[in-house]
Amino acid sequence: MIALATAMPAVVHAAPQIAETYEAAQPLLQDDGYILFAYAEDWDTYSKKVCDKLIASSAVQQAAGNAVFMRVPIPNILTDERKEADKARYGSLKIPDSNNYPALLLLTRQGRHYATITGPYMTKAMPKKVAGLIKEAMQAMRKQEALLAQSNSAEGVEKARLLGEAALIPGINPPEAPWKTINQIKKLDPKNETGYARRLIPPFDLSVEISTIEREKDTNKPHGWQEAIKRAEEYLKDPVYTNEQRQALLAVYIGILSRNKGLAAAAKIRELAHEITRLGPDTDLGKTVPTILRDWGLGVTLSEGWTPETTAVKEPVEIESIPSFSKAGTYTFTLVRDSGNHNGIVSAISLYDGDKLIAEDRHEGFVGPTKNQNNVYKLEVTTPPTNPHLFIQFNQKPKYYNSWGHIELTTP
Amino acid sequence: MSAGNKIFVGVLLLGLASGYLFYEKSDVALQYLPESFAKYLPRKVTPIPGYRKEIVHANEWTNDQAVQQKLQNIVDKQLKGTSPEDVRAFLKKKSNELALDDLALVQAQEKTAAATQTLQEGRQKALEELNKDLEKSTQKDDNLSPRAKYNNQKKAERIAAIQQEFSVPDTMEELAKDPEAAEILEKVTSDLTWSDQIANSGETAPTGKVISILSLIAKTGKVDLYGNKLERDIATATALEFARSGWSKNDAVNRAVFHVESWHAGKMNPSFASLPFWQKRMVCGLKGKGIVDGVTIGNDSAGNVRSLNYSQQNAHLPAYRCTGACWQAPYRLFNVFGDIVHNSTRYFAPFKDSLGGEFNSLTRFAGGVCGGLSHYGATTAVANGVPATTSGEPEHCSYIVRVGDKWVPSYSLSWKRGLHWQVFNGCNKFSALHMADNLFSEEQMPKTRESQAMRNLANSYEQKEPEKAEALYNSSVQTQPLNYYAWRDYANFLTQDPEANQQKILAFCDFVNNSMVTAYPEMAASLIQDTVYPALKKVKNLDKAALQNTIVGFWNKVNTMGPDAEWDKSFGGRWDVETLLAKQADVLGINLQKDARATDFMRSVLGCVSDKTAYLTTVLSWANSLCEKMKPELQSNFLAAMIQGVTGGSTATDAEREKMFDGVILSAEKTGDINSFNAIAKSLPSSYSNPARKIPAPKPFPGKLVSQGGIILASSTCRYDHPCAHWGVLEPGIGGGFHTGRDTDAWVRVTLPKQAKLSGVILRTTDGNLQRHNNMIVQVSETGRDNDWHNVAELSVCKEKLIRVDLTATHPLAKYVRILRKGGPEFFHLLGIYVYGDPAA
Repeated sequence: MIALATAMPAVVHAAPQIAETYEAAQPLLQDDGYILFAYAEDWDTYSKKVCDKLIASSAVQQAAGNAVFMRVPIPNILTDERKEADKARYGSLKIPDSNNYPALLLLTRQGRHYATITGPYMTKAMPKKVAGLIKEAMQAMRKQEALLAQSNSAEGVEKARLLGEAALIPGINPPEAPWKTINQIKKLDPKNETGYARRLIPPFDLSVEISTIEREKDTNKPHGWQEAIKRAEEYLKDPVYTNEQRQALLAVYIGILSRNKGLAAAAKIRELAHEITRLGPDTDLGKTVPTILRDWGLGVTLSEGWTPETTAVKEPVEIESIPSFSKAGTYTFTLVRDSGNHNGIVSAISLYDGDKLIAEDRHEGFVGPTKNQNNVYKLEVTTPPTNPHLFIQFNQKPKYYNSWGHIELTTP
Repeated sequence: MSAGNKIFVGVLLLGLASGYLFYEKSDVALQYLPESFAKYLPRKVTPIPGYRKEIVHANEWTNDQAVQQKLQNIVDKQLKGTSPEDVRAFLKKKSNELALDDLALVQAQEKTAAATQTLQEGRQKALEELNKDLEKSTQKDDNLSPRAKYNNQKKAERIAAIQQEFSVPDTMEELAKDPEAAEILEKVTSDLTWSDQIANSGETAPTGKVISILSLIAKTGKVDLYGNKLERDIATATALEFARSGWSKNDAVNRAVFHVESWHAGKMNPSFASLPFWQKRMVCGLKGKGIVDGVTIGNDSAGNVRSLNYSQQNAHLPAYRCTGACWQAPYRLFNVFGDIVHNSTRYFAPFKDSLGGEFNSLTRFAGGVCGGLSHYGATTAVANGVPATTSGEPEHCSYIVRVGDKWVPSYSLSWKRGLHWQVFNGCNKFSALHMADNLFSEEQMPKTRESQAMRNLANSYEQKEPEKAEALYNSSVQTQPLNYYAWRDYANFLTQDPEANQQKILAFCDFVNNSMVTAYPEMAASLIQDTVYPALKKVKNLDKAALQNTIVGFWNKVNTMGPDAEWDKSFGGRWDVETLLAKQADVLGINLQKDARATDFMRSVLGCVSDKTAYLTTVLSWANSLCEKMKPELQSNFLAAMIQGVTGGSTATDAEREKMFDGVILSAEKTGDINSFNAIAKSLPSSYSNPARKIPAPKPFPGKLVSQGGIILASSTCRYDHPCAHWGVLEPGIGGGFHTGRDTDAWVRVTLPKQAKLSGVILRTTDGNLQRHNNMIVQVSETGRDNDWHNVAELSVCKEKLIRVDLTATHPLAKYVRILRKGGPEFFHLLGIYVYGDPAA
């Protein structure tokens, strides 16, 4: 053990290169650029201490490579005098704003802002964690800079590919605003051979594109939502899109189904939601899946009952969360109206064991604000099913569907 | 044990012993540290300095009527007259001051009793309905779906919250029966500083509820009400605001603890400690509505503790950056699922479980429109200890942040803003913040204290000795003309019987004119139009001549648009002059559209303001719009009077009208007065409104022409410029023009009537001198501030007269569009600027 320790070279760090001004930073500047330690000058009591601790940390120093450190106190009030003083101090270096302080602002040698590190690791002054984030960001930056350097000597489609790849490096800022890169790529790659003109579209913008079609009120297209779904499906088939873009497309697809078909589309919604999980369970959209499954992905249930959307579905709709039907006897289903005006509701309730129909009551049942008629359905179960599936067929005769209600069950 | 450890333990024991001795030896600490609280409080207690005397014992509060009588007897005995000198003599004895504050606390409870009762009944009803609903829902099916279970869980949470709300009493009588609450009640009412804060630091609140909240805060053991002034201030500010708004006591406790803990963690802006108490109330009381009142996720829940905590962890910002905090959340009318923000139940539904389930984190990720973003911005400021409030604007929501000694409107699109957090109940005017700044300033505080005492005395005599009350109100506003609380109470007192008090009310108006109008015209207008005019309308034999005199008196006294109007210019700093004019005409019984007397009324007002630039533009544009709606036979006289009002002449040629309007238009442009600009445009000489040589309308970009109805402002004007032609610049199919001087980096700014997502901009140059249009940059901004412009297109050499800038790829959100012509010095001119896009929600 001792021998091993003596054989290993001691970890030596050069003292951090700290510059107080832009001018002082210039002779020290190397490939790893700047790390700006931005903290509250006078409007909190801890963030300066956090930055001092991180600057002194060997883990941070090591992760920072040859970057120049600069302290950037952020004032509580930005006066004209202060602006002038900052101009003199930071020269042509544009200090980026952070949404939160304390923050580390990582800039390339040319002064391009490529990453901000802020949040709990910073607030709690955890040098090793922060060092890890610096390291990841710097590696990504080096890769991005290398691609940009290559793109300078490339042309046409190849240049478009390199620019696109550089813009999509995860964890750091793209070199330009996406629309600027897209415009540049469109000129270099007019046939979209690289796919980057589409891959760089912000995911949310794709969602907007689809939901705008849904809202189009063209008299020739009575169901804009169906057109919107077609477009979403078309995009989802195209391998060019990133996982993040696909998640946004799936989200808007789910939204459209939920708005237009309600619980009747529950099965499809579930399928799409599971796909979101497959693409990335830990993304912000990935984390919404359990809620989607609970609120929108659960079909018609006895307690939740029907809505105007579900009653409009032509095919039989499967009822979810049903009892086991483990006892033989009569199962009585009573339709109970909760609200709404129209009273034409159901034409059949059927019980299957797997694919086999084992009990059915088929008649027209009505519930209304003033009276109910034939609103009780009875299923005679002689042999309890092993794989029960319960279906409801909504009455398609009414012109308008605008009632809400639930189904009460009496078991034998 | 090592030597070092021994020393450490020794020091520790010594510390504990000295702490023990402190409790044992310090009489004051013992006196003001109730046993019930001491057990939660391991910290050293440093007594808060101040005058203390126990006038009412804890057990006496079980009969608050008797307490009121006791305090009133003290006041009756000690007060020798109603003049300011008499009251000053009364206040020389601290015990008198304390008795009067305590009396004000009893009165506050009495005044708010009916509202408290209504609130309680509403909650009781909600509780019953929720219980029934939950019972029905759980009985319905044993095999509940996860969604039904979730909904039931939420109902149960709300039931528990309401039940908890009812579990602590709210009246002084009931509180006095609870030993811990009684102790707080006694401590508050025997401490002059503390009772003064509750009675006089702003609007009063149901005192019982304030005490109730303070007692719950004390029970947490996390807030020191006796040894730390700042902690006590936070607790009191929170209790006052939550009690005033009728919000949940439990939420109040959480809020107070949040601010105290944030302070000690160094996460609140240190300037919080030196804020005047009324601003601490703003920080601790913004948007506290919670689950008890059925608020789950929406704008009103932005101030719940979880939401504030999110902002503190993720948007820790200096005061000046809080003004732009709203832009941390994306502007989205439809979320990624395609749901519209106005259906907040669906909009946030998919995110509510995974993103913290509270407003600010949800808004930061899912986005929102003006309401959500402004609530995010304002509550982020208060989470950082910076005063802020949201404010309503026409079809918009903005917010206001205290930066240094300024109130900075943020995400503001109009001068017409109504405060959501009000320092004076019922008065949502922006000027109220400036008036309160002055009222509670160190310099004014001695007078304010006296004035508040006179007001409290007047309140106490209103019923039994109204003449005394009237004299005391008069003394109060004379002593401190900034005391809007006193003015309002005085007005309410006089207007109880407007018939009998007609002359007194008219004298009151003159008093307001002489005391408030010049410095705070908006506040004076608010006071008179909300209290006096509705009462005068009920008077049968109204002395209209005298009333007319008070109205003329008002307009004679106006000068600037009010505090900070100059600084606020970029936001169009002014107030709602038109509403006051309409109400004045109404109280005089003049139908402005049909009555010939409208001309005299307008002439008299215009005569008062003709030499006051700040008002002339507004009054003239008001007159213009009025003229349009008038019966045709009245219009010519009215127009003549209007011109006479401004030029002194009885008639005017087109040339004279142009000369008259030029100045008014430039003035409207400088102040960003979009209404006046467009109102005047309707009376332009026909050579401008309908020119012989029109510019054909270009092929539009998708969406609407969002610049129409806007206003322009150029970097300068010159002798070639015709301001009457400015309106046409924004009118496709008509055309106009502006002409700057020889400017370096000349520019023209278009303020859109509404914020919009842009699809394109079309520029129409002049026919010649195209070189003056080289190197134009199209910029957009949401605030119009100098440091907030973003380039969306950079043009080079100008070769075309019609320049189309396609923005469909980026759809930037903008309220302002600026065309910057780089280079110069050189003239800059355009005939048309047409901006297209979709107006924002």
